[in-house]
Amino acid sequence: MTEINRLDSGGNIDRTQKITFTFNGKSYTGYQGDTVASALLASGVNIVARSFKYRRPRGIMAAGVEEPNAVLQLGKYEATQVPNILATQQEIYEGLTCRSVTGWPSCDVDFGGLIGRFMGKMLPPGFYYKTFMKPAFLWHTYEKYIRKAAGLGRSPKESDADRYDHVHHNIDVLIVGAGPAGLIAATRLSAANVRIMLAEETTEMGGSLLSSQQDINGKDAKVWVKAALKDLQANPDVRLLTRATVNGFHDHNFVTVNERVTDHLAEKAPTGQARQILHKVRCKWIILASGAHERPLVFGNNDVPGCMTASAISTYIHRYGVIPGSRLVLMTNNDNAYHTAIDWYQCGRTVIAVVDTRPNPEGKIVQKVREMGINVFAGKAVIDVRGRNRVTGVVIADIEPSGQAVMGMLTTLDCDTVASSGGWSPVVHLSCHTGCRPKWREDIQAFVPGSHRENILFAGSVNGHYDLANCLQEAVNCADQIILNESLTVQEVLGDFKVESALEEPIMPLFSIPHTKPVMQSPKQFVDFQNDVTVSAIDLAVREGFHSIEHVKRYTVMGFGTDQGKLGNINGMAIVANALDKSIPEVGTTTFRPNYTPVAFGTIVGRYRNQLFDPERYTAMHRWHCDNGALFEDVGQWKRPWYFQAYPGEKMQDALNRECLAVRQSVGIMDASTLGKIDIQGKDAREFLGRVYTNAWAKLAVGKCRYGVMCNEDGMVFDDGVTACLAEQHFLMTTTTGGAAKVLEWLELFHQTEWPELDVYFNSVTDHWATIAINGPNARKLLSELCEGIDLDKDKFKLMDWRQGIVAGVPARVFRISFTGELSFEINVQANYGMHVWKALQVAGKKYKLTPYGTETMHVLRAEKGFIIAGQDTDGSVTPLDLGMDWCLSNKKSFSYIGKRGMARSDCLRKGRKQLVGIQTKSKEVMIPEGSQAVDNPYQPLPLEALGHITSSYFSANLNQSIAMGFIKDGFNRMGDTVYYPQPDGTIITAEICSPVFYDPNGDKQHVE
Amino acid sequence: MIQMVTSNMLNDTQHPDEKNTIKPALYALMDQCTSGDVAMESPVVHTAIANDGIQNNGIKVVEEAFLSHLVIRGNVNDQDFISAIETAASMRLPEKLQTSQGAHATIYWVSPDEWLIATNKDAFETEANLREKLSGHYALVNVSGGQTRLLLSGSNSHRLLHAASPYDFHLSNFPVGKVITTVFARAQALIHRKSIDEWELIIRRSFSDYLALWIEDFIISC
Amino acid sequence: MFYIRCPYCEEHRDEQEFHRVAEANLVRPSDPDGCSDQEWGEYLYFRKNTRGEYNELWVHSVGCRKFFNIQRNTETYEILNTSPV
Repeated sequence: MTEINRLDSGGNIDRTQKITFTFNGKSYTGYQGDTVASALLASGVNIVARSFKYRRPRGIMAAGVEEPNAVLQLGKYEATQVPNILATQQEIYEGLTCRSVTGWPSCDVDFGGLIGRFMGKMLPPGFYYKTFMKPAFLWHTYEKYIRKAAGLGRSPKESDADRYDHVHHNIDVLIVGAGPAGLIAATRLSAANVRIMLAEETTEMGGSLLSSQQDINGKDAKVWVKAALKDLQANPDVRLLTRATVNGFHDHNFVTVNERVTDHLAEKAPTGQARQILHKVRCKWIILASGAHERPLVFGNNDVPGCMTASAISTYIHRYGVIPGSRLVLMTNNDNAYHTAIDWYQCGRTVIAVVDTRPNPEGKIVQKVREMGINVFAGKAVIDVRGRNRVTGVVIADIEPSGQAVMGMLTTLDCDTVASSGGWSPVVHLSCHTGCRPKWREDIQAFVPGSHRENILFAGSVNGHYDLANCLQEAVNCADQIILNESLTVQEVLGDFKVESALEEPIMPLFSIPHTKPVMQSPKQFVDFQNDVTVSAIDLAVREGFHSIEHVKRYTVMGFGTDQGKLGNINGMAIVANALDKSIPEVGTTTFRPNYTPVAFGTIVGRYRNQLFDPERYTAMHRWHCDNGALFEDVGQWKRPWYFQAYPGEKMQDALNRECLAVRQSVGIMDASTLGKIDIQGKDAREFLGRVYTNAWAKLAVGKCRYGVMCNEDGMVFDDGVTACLAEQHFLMTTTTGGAAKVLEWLELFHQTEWPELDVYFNSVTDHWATIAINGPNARKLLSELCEGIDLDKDKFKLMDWRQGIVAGVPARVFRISFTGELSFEINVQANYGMHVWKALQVAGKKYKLTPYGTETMHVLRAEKGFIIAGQDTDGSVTPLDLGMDWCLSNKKSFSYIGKRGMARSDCLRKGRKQLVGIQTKSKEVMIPEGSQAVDNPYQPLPLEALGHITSSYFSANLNQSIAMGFIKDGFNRMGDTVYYPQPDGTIITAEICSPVFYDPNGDKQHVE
Repeated sequence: MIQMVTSNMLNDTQHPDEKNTIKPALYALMDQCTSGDVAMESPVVHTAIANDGIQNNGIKVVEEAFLSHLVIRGNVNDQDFISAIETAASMRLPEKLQTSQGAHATIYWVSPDEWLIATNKDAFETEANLREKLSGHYALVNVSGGQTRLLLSGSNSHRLLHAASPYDFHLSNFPVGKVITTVFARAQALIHRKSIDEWELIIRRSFSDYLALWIEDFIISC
Repeated sequence: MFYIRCPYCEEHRDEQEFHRVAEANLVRPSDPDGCSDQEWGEYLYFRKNTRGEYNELWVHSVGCRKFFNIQRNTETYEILNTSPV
């Protein structure tokens, strides 16, 4: 393809660097500095997409982020696919491969186009709701085809080949947009010794000045831009970002900025470099200088390729040296758009006419255009466009000064490009993200930012100052306001300027051009191009009773595309206002939410992927577990061995059976380091324990341990564990693995807010101690081989005692406590020695067939003994009484411990509460799935009356039967009763209520010699 | 004068009271280290930071393994507490968000009633020495096994911090000597600026494999 | 994302370092056992959940671990004041 629309000179492109790229399978060329859009326009490509609903051919309309049509799927390889890239933003690089996201089989030949042409009438707004409602079961069939037809790109099937990163910034001033306002504000502030970030969405700083013919300080504006940038770059406190979109303005001046670092360089970022960076910026002040988007006027067939916004055409001419056509008709309701006619004319191509909707435009620029010999038709409007794949002409008619009707003779003009300008819409989006509403300005027919609580200032066209002199002055004022507010000293007054004011005549309030026919019969007048929302669709929605703009939006889907209605929404609101006979501010805008533009998932994730996604917490013995066949279970963020495979491929149940039998027959070893451990010191430690635990602590002697249950104020169990008395005023509390942080905070909460008079300090020592539990009849023999300084005699070192000694050469605290019902010791050593002691036990344990076991075996063994697990057998609605743990409550304590009053409420004491009992299936090999609900009569009419659910259910190898625990209404009084557990597959499991202690009910095993 | 619980006392079947020479111990002080030939493993032993550390492009991270870490709790308005600590440690107790540096130790402010002392001296001796001077309401906790100290250095070290934490590490807000506890990657760290381009990070043992992976991921791509 | 001044550390920190605990100034009845079910229920469950200015208890969990009061506007998310408990 030759670049038929490339001008011989001009544009900020490097003409020595020719680049080849592929679009929809065809090869095109362009230059370094081109976007895909500018290069395609240079090559005369008309159609870049098919429309969403009607499958109409669509061309490039804009030059920036507001572009609705030119949406691309980027990427040569599966792992580098990126959906929904804008051709107007994506710069070309050698080998770039992209395609339209819409159109099947291609956007040039689209079978759907036929549907659009002949069935368009059958696709009114809300057609999903109206058409696909019945029969409901077919929706899944419809949905598949609708989604395929809609097609807005696809996500890659392979994981992203690139890296992404996050960077935090704490700065004084963030300036959004490096147009004239942003640049001059940065310049002025740069003398004030503050930290500044200037973020520009496009590839180049300068904004409108890059395609302006105005002078600043008597020189070409581009010269001023260059000088300003040079000074800013030299200042280490100024951070300049290009290709960086400020996407979200969040509470307390927190802003997210998405920088596309290497998207313009290659398919994949250079090794080690992040493709995109998410900057998380906390700033004292924001100067929003985000500019304005030109909005097109709405008219018949305004979507035919060749219809563009006026300013986009100027941008293509000035920045890329591309003129997207030969014969131009320009329609405008304001003076500003006349610049485009001049630009076009000066490129040596034909301006057929300027069609001005105002009855009598007499501005300076209008005169200038007339003097150039260009036809200016006043009081007229383009009502229809001819052509299908490219504009071939326009139909114009007289328009009433009110803009409400067209009349008179229709004239047809031949042309290939229609530029339109309906005025400018300030990019107020960021100003609205924290909930503020924009306000309407009648004089400029636009919404500008409303009042704010935050330290955010507005400068330039975002605030309705389109004239360069006003725009610069406002930016300077913003900078001065910050300098004043922060009492900054300025070394040098920078940013003075001299610019000639270019006064313009007022804009005509006009958004949509009426047709000679009524709305429903006129040619399609598109408002939202990406979603194919037309004037008649909005009209219909209003007539069907949708009067709130938020409802109209959802019914017509206006503004729902990847462009979020940047081009069309204001026109849509004006059309709704007109249909409702209300003013635009009465109708208001829809809600602007972050993000301003789509952000890649990779950027949101940053480097927090795979293993970095969420911390995995390891114990000191973790590596041994990995090397010895452990499969892991997540407990909070901890990785705990779940069970160990004795050989690769060992089945879970086989491993559990083996581990369970080994513990009860000889000895097993488990890593218990993850249990929460809290060091408690102070003269009131004992008193404090008595207040937070349900049982008594006043008499626990040094060298002893006690099990305790913690409740919430409502009397419900929330954690449990063993606490040891280390010395008179010194205790070590253990908590569940998952409850550690919560319990420590709970203790601190009550200490800091309720009982600050108690002298006590809490500190986490969870990570400091490695805890190794050895369980089984041979546990004492094993320990005696490695232990010095502790008399292990069963009468000297009793159950619930702790002793200090040496284990495997390392000082240790050994606790004789048991969660399995076997003889058991928990050995605590400073964690740096954990691996050494663990390995020494493995060696010494060989002769006892010492078997490592994981959490699942622990669960089975404790369930055989009827021990609960807080969080599994409790769910925040269970009191100690419901668990049959009355023995754990002390009513002698003078202080009303936490939970006491709660569990004394009438509902907690009533008859018929669900109580935790053992459940024994009639067929001993059958296991009841956890969560199954018990009923007395499985054949009763629906709904079944549920008695309670199964909380724990295992196969016990030691008993060679299934065991379970669960809640049953009034269960303690129903021992021996039969209950039924209906299953989703229709089967019914029959079971008997029994004691939860299935194994060694007298507790002899933990006292073996 | 406070007495310590020692291992042989607890093995004794006699109640401590029955021994006339010794009063009941209020706190359990324990020598948790061994001089024997026993292999120690630091929290980052299985990561890229182990041994010589990891470095690239102006960022270096090494571990300062096996230091003694002691948490000190007490009331800053209790002059006896302050002078006892300062006498025993021969160091000032640092003010809010500050550290004080001694020949063998650094004391870090952690919270209005909490400090951390990290020293290359023996933890048991340090604690015993402190307890000997201290009285009234206070706490000392040996946490040497539960955390470790990393030294982050190099001209680009601030870049790693800005990627890991939302805090403002600019010299104007974070002068040399300052210390904070804050979010670091998706865990947390105590961060102390030791010099312009040197930062101490104190991290918890159980998070150290994760944090070492994060640091490695950053450093190889920086 | 809130920016919260911890009244103990006496500087602003990112929201990630904190979390909300409860409504502020909930007073635990001095004699729980003397409370009626109604009174205890009020203490347990009933909260103002004010739209507008509201006092909350927060904790500087990744930091100094101290609890403190925040006076904030639940509608605008402005923080009006923070103070030690």
